[in-house]
Amino acid sequence: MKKSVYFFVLEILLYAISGISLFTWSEFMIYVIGSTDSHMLSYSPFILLTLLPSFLLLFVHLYWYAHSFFARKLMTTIFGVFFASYGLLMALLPIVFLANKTYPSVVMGNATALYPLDSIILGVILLLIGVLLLLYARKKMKEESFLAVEEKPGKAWGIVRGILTFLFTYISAWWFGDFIFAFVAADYGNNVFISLVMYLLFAHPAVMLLLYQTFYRKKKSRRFWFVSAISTFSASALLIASFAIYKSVNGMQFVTESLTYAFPLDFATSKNFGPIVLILMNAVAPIVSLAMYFLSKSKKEEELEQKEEEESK
Amino acid sequence: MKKQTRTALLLCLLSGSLVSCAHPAPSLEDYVSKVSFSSAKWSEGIRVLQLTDTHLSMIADFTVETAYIKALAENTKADMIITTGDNVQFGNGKTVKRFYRMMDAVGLPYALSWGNHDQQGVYNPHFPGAESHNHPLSLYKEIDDDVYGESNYVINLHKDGSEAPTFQLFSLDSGSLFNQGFQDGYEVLHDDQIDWYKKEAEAYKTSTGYTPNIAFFHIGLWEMEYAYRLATGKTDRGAHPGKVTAYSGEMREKTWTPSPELGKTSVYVGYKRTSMFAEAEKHNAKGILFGHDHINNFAAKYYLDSSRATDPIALVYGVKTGHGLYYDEDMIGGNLLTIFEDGSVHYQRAYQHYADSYENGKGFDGLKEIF
Repeated sequence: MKKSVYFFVLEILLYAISGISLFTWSEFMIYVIGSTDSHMLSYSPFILLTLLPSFLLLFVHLYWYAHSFFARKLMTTIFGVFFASYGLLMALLPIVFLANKTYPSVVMGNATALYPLDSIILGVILLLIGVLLLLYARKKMKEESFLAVEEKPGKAWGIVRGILTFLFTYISAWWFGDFIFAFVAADYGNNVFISLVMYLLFAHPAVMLLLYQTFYRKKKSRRFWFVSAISTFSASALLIASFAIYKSVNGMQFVTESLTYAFPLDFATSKNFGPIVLILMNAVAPIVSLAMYFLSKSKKEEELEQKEEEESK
Repeated sequence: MKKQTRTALLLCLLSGSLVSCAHPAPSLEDYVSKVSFSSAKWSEGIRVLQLTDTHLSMIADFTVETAYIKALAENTKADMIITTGDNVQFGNGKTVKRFYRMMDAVGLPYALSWGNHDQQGVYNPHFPGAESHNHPLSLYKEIDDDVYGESNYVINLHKDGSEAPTFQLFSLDSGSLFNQGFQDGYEVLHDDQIDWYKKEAEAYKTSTGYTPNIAFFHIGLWEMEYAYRLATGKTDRGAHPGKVTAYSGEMREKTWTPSPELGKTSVYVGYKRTSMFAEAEKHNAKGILFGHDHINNFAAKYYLDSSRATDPIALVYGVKTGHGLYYDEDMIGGNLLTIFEDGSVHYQRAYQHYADSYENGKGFDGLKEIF
């Protein structure tokens, strides 16, 4: 199989796992922040465990999409050091907590089924991965075998795109985790229709991100952006309209009746952030597609530009 | 077949299928769990331990929590346990099962009511209730009905040999949040839940009147704030109907204003006043127990109707149980209610701290009179 397919599949897997982990992490953090007892230090291995998939995803993405050999080597070195240190912490902290009896046993089985043993084992593995990455960066990476997978964007656009993609990736991953948990937490009672609409709203930003990664990153024609705007707008509009109509008729009580698990921050603060963020997330792709449509050149303009370039040569 | 005959047959089949599709409404008996105690036990008093707001989460150490609850039950010599909600929070199905196993480990019958956080975990919202079927000591009733909420059921306490209950414990589901736009308020007991309470109480009415009872649920009533204002002189906060005959404890929760009609309060009440207290007075309720507000332990004997002046209802905050979520160390444990055959109830607070070992009552501060 082509290397690109391996990385693509790996990114999707890491994205899904990051979603579940980030959702779990957020629930833990909300509980801990509201608690009298400070669990932040004593459960720091658990925090590291739940954030790990997100860092792995970041590394894989930056490695694959590096625009130069130097960038790739630098990324690999930095993450090598990072993962080695991260792994060391993940392995050592539980050992310290076992030694000082903060943890009563090596398999408490509360936070995860094998906690904190899983943190120790994964920490050791991660430490080895970090060391291997460092060795790979220093000794095995060859400039002649480097091939950039896409054009380097302009500096300003590269930074903007990087930040926006970063934010969108992790926020959409959280919502995707929310969607995955619906498979165990779904209530098929009175609110089944609106619940299904909400689950699709949770998953839709992830689908948009997948399309972006697969098609949008390479420069596309104006017509492509137009089709993209129409299709993403249709999907988002259908879902958002279904939600809005249901809300106007029946109100929002369905959230507390059937979707209690899905909006942990909203429940903790008694403020309805979740639906607002969700609607904004689902509006992003149509807006971006539309903007790209207007910013990109038409076929005639592209042909004219090409002709002028040839003439100047 | 003639057209008229075909039409008649079709209508018969249709009406038959509609009848079979509609499930029969549950009877009042379906909501009842029964616990029987001997005459000797009744003469000593039935000791009911109220636990509340354990908030056991995905990181709870159930070995530690089980030892704590067992110690509390042993030190109070409880005969049964009730909980007033927020038993679990931010857990998964395993957390709920472990919670039930913890309650089983105490070895006493127990009756759960749900709070605003119990469904806040990655499981189907009906799972905590459905899981009760796997635990014989659980008195919880999961009823497929149209009454709002889930933990609406009654525990009838019997004396050996008697058909009619001597005392009733009513669990109600006070819900979680009530959507009010961007900001949510807390839910209240719905009218159909209060109607259900009335009907159940009516069903066990005797020639001498309603069977004495206690209602327990999670979110407090507005009347608790009125009682607090009357007891502590904070009548400038707003309305303060009714009268208080005795009180104790304090309210350490931060004040807020859930509604302009109520004004400032330290009780994290539902968004509106309901008729629950008024109906409780009419139906011979002796007490109403709440949870929800971890650092309030206020209790008052309060009445609205002058006919209850000599027998006011005890509005009692549960003492928050354990270290789950937030707490004040000097305010953790439970309440002990001793229920007598004549319908009278003796209320005590039971403060229990965590300890490495609970032998010889270690960690237990003894029972403190509430009134």
